[in-house]
Amino acid sequence: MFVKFLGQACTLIETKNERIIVDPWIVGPCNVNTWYTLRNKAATTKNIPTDVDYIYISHEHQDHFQEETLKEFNKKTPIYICKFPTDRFYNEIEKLGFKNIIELSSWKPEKLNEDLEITAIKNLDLMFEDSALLVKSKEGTIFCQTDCKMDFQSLKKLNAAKPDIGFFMYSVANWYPDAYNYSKEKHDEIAKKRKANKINGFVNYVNVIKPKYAVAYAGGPLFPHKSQLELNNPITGVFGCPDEPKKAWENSGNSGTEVLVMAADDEISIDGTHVKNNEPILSTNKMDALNELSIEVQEDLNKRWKDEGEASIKLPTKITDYFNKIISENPIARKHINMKVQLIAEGKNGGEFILDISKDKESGTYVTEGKTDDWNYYMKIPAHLVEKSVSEELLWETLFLSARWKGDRKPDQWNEHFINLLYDPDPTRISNIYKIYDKLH
Amino acid sequence: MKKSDIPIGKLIEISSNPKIILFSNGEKYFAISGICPHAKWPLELGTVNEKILTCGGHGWEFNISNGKCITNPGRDLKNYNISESKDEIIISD
Repeated sequence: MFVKFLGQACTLIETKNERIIVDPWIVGPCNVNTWYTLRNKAATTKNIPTDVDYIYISHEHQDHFQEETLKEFNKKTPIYICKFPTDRFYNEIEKLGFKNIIELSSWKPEKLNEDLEITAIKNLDLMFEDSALLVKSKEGTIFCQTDCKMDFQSLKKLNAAKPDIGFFMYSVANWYPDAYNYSKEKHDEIAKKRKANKINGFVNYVNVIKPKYAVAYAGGPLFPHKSQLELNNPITGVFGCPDEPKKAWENSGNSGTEVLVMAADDEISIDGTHVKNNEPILSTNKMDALNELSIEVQEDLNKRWKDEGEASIKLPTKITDYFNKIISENPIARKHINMKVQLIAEGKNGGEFILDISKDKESGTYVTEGKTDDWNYYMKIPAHLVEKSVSEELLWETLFLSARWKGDRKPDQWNEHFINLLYDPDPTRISNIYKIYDKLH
Repeated sequence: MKKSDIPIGKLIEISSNPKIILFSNGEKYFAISGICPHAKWPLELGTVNEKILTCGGHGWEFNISNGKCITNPGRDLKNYNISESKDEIIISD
């Protein structure tokens, strides 16, 4: 039994008889043509192992679920996902043409054949859907955290499962602080702290689960577009490299697990034998690798950005209709969000919009055109991307993860209720969440 | 609880049900609920810097003096009262 690491959170797990691929994002950029995997040279379709028996996908973020990679697979390949409270992820996979999608209840093992068993593990978050995976065979046990933020009880159960190899996330996958209007000093301070917290989390996950071997993965991406190069700075950026969690583990004084740095295309056998097929990207060589990749893909990236097109003349109406609908349909969310948002759709056919999502705004229009200084949340987004999101062609989260926008907050704090509304404004989902949320808080 | 039993600069669990953790910075004592509301991690695995408690799981931050969640306002920890005598502290709801 061995695992081939294919970049970001993608692993190909192979036993004597079966192959399962997890979170296949291998080729091309994701998140609105911005993120690339940590590779010295961009992968091609030749890097995609399409002759697999099964696919597991942890959740819908594009660095785990990416159309350009998935279209290379046979549409009859069984795709396993975790059973989530909504069908939205199932439906998104179905839209790609896959016919055999199987939902697994969290922590209920599923035998794929006599020797291969997988267990999906759902996160506990009320609002956002994600999962991890445990793979068992007679040859050994492998755990893939993907980038699931797991509850502590699940970690203890995983410890009891005695995994031989664990793949653990070590980096944030978020737009904070990069998209926000901070001074450089403030940005760097936040980024440094966030990165350190995440690496500390890696150490704690590994120490609780205690596999024999732990691989740091699901790390930061590369942003090779010439307008985003600063996001890659290994010292001031929020995204780390796998040598950093390895060093943190070695400095922690913990023992019982060997932490490995694997490059994309490297393999690890169940006995810990590490076959190196590529040069890893580390904090020391990241900028060199980035510069090479940036040159390699710039022309293609520019074309992709151009091909995104322009906003239509209907955009102002679409923005007004979309936000009026989702705000009016979700009064319970509005009460928790309680803020005014200044949305700037920047560029051709864009405009300025005030979204009144205040708890006291009981009726009337929630959207007006214009500017206000009285905002709590500010978003300046390319108009054509706003149009894709209000047309439900692009998840707001995917747009935010692209870092191709600018934000600001007054007060400077996270509003999970606003992000949750944008994540999926389905009134039934929202209502179900707040029935539980309001009991807990 | 005897003051001499309380380490300085270290989060300790003093009750498992309800779970309560205690922290002393050498000058003051702080007692708050010990489970992170985000993903139920035990907060004694976290770290304290000045008055900010950071969860060891996913980095959520709390003000240890009042339990307020900094990362995600509203997801606060329960804060317990502490009264001090010369040698002991008493923690109350």
